[in-house]
Amino acid sequence: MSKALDVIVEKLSSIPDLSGLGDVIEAIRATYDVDHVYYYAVSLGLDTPVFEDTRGGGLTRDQGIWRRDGRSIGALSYSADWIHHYFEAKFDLIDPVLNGSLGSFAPLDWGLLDWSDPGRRRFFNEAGEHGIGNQGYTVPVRGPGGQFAIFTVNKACAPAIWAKLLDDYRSDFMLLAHYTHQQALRFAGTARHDLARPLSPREKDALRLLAEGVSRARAADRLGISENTFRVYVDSARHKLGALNVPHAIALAAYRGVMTPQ
Amino acid sequence: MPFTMIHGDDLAAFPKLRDEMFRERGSIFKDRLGWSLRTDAAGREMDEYDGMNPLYNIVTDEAGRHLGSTRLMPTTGRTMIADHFAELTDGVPVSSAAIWEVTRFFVSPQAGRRAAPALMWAGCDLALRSGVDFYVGVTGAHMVRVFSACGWTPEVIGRGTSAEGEIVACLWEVSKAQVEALRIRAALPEECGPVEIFRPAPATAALAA
Repeated sequence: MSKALDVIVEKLSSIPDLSGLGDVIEAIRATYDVDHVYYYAVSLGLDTPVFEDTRGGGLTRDQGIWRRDGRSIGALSYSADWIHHYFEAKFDLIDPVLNGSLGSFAPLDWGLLDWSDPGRRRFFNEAGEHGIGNQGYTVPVRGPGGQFAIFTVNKACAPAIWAKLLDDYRSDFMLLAHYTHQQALRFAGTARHDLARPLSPREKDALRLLAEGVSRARAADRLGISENTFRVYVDSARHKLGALNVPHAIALAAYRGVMTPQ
Repeated sequence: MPFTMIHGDDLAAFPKLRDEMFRERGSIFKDRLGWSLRTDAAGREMDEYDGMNPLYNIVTDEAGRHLGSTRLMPTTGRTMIADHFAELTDGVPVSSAAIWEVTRFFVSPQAGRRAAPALMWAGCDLALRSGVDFYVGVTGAHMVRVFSACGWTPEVIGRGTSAEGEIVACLWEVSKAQVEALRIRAALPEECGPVEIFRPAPATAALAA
């Protein structure tokens, strides 16, 4: 986990509700020095809409969060002009980034997409005129019950600069996509935490040792496992607790009294 | 060596390759290894995970015939290791945005020696480009030596027994150096990547109006 990621995750953990997502998006944009960042939950995985669609499929913005069709939400650094134009021109029907990501879990580098089709070319050019970067990277996130979201960063820059940025931060973007989605689900009230699934003894051991301030290497050693196995245990515990980072996982586990050995 | 990456939902666009892959999967895992798996009337082995839109990493011969493949899934969703083999990892279900699961790794008997490391190279390179740090997978204990011989030694993070014999949970670390090592092992040229995932995008004629 990079230091930049630590800072963002801390911020993401501390926002009180969905309205804070816009600030997180801005923090990501500034921290990673990209032109734009967006999180767009195509579906939060609900049978019923998460909010009232007063305009019948229209696009609304409230406290910095865009909502559409009663099901989708987005936090974007894009201009309102472009977002309205995007849907009015029905670009969502042909956008190769959106359509190429749907249902996937593998990130997509815009440079590998085929932009030769005239409609797609027009879309790309108009996006550029609205300040969208020519280089982009999109991480799809899918979850149970049809949940699906995409997280994108983009920047107008030369290929070499872009390649360096991705080399340095791909892992961060993968995690940020998932953590942002996790928080959005939580605030939308659709998170499915595995509270029914208790921490296994190994997960408790791992968290307890970290809580005692033992280093990962020593903790792994004490448990007679490798550092990679230790990381797997901690990640699983964090995931079950619905925490975005280890300190929060420890705090939550302590709060719920689930760390003590039985 | 031609590579193909296709999501389960897009396999219908590759009917011949799809059927070859599932038929060979049946003949390897069911007939040859004796796993208790179901095959359909055409001999194709498919399970519920094939219906969850996994990503297939496939290597073919020059004529486009299936030589080997693996099935990739994110561990943030349902996985075979969490659903069926959690006891291998002391009851801990592996679940992380930075770990993908690999299942049904196999190469055809007629594939050359390069097929297995080539398949691993494509998978390792994709993971590296995706910000994924590890693959996890459950396999027969005897396979660890096979993977090592291909140039990608997994770390065994759990052991157990199943009806098919001794099994292990493996973790393969993804790194730039590993991608390069596999490329050399598979005797692939330097400029062979990246392998693009088939991503259908709708035609834009609709917009003309």
